[in-house]
Amino acid sequence: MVAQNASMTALDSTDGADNVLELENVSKVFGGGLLRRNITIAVDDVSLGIPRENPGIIAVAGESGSGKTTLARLMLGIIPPTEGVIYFNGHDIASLNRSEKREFRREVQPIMQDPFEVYNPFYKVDHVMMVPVQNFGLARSKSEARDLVVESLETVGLRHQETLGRFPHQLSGGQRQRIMVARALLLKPRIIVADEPVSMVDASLRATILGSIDLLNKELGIAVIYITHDLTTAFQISDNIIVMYQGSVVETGRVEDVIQDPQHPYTQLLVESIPRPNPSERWGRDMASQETGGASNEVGCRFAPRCPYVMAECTDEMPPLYRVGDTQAALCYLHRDTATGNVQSISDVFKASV
Amino acid sequence: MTTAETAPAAVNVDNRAENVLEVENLKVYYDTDAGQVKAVDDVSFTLKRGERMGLVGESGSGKTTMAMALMRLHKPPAIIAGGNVRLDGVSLLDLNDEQMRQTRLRDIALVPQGAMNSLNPVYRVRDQIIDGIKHHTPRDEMLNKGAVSERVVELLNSVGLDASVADMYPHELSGGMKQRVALAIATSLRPKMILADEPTSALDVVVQRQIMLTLEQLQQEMEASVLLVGHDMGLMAQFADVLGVMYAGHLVEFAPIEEVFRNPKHPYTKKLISSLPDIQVKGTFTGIEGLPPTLVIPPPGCRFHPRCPIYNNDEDFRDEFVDIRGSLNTDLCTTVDPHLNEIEPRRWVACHMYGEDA
Repeated sequence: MVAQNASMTALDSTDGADNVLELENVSKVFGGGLLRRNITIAVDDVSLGIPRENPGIIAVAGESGSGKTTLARLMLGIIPPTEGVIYFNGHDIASLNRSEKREFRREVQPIMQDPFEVYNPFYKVDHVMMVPVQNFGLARSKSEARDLVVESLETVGLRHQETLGRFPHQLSGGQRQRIMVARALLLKPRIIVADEPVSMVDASLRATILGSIDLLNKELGIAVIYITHDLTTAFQISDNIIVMYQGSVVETGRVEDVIQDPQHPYTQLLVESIPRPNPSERWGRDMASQETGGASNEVGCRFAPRCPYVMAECTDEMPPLYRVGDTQAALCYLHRDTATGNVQSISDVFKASV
Repeated sequence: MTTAETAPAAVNVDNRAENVLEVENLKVYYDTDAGQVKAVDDVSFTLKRGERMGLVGESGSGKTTMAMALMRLHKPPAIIAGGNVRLDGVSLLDLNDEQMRQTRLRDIALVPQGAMNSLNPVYRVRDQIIDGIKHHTPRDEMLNKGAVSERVVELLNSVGLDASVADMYPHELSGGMKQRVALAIATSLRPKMILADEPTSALDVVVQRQIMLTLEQLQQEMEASVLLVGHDMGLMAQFADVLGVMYAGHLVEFAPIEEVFRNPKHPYTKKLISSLPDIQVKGTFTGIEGLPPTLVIPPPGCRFHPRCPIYNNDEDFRDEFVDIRGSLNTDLCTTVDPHLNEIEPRRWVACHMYGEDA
């Protein structure tokens, strides 16, 4: 595996010039082993490029178990892909040398879901900010380090007088989460992978945190991968979206197209089920697509057992990602006759961010 | 129902017709080392038979504390420091522990927060449903074995589960299916009132919709009332008939759901609604500046005034409440805690803009 990857890197060293991060036919399979039973395909054959210029915000949406967090962990290099290659600046991340790895670790930053668990309760907030400064040698002196920290706190709208010198339990959940955004920012990354950054905070704070993430993208040109189960916030802040279902990318493209005119039956169900904040637009009483509790398809479309439009071929073979518009693609045979071809890399249908 | 304890209900014939739940000046306090925390402070509202009420608020606003206190399931150091709770005319705070236990599940049932983790992992679904029925039915009314088994199947079917689920263990079920089992348990004795505390917060939107529609269907069949506690205004818009909004231990607004969304009266509710993101117009969605206050030493006067756009003369809010904001004496905001007043039939609001307290 390693040897094979290494040889591919050599071939692709020119290819990655436009993309900071590139996923090429990446899959991740859990379980299996000798008997190859009970395997879970968490991410199935994803190709995606994150450009250096105008990267925008990409939402990855799906229910729990859809593979969205696995995709995030692959991008962060926390877990290796089972198949396919992930390139950072054109180099396979499995075979980076020491300094390249360091650069990768600095340029691709996570923001985690739970702002309560990432802190060590015994250390003041300063600690979580100073460690990356020291580890990456970002400052030459203590006062310079402090200036850096203060600056990044201010960028996300926090006053250092109200945060530095305090213990995590003295801060609100919203403040803690914004400190994590500030910490990621400190390293001047190219990509931020934010896994459900607002699912643990109150609605009133959600806007502020998402606002600071949006700012990182718009003002500083940092690419943001926004992992979420909430299509509404995905619609609000992202440029493009990837909808996942049981490991497959079922629909992708410009966020307005995908959410306002979904083309995959699963996305349609998802959008229909959003609890809209309008009492005169209530959910339909149609209870189709109950979860069956049964195992999903192993060969064909994963959604086929719940799909109201299921056809014979759906259970035989996985459909390709059909291009259904300039900036939209869907993994569904319903579009076989009308599609304008197949999409190789998800980012081919992305709208360029402005 | 035939037991002596519930007899007072019969006296209150008029009440039975209209209000299932009457909460009057309820106070739930926590005694902590830092001082007394008034988590629920002087809350009053009524809920009609068959009505679905939503209760929203930020974390720490006291909504869950209040819901638990209604069933007297609040845990120390929480104490009910005052007020009254009447369920179908029966004063729940006057019942002894045994009488209260009999009332739970039979008259008022709970679908707990994270209901999926409330099931016992080592018992089959059937036994957990029967357990609830057994423990909350007086001995002389208990069904025989065959009838109980039939009831289990009937209940599972009513929540959209197959009868075979009865013989499964919780780990064999998905999150949504576990939540359905929790619904089956909560409705097993056909309660007058169902209390659901964020029943779908851990589920994705598709399953959430199915569960909420199932709850609605059951509630309508039984003519039960529901109190749905949560923070998702979207879910409330989909489900509730009336909405209560809590802020820092107070109920600040109570009104029919359409009215709340069409014409919110309290500035906090207004902010809450304008901060909701939607999928139709892409644009800025705003938060609510500032943080909820600490309840140990709440701000003097109105607890919302430090964040209130009207009190603080927020520019973006210039055009809101234009007709009445002029009459607001802002000195009151910092000195007098506003009362919840009924300004129109079934429209309650606690804000000095609407007078009354002056």
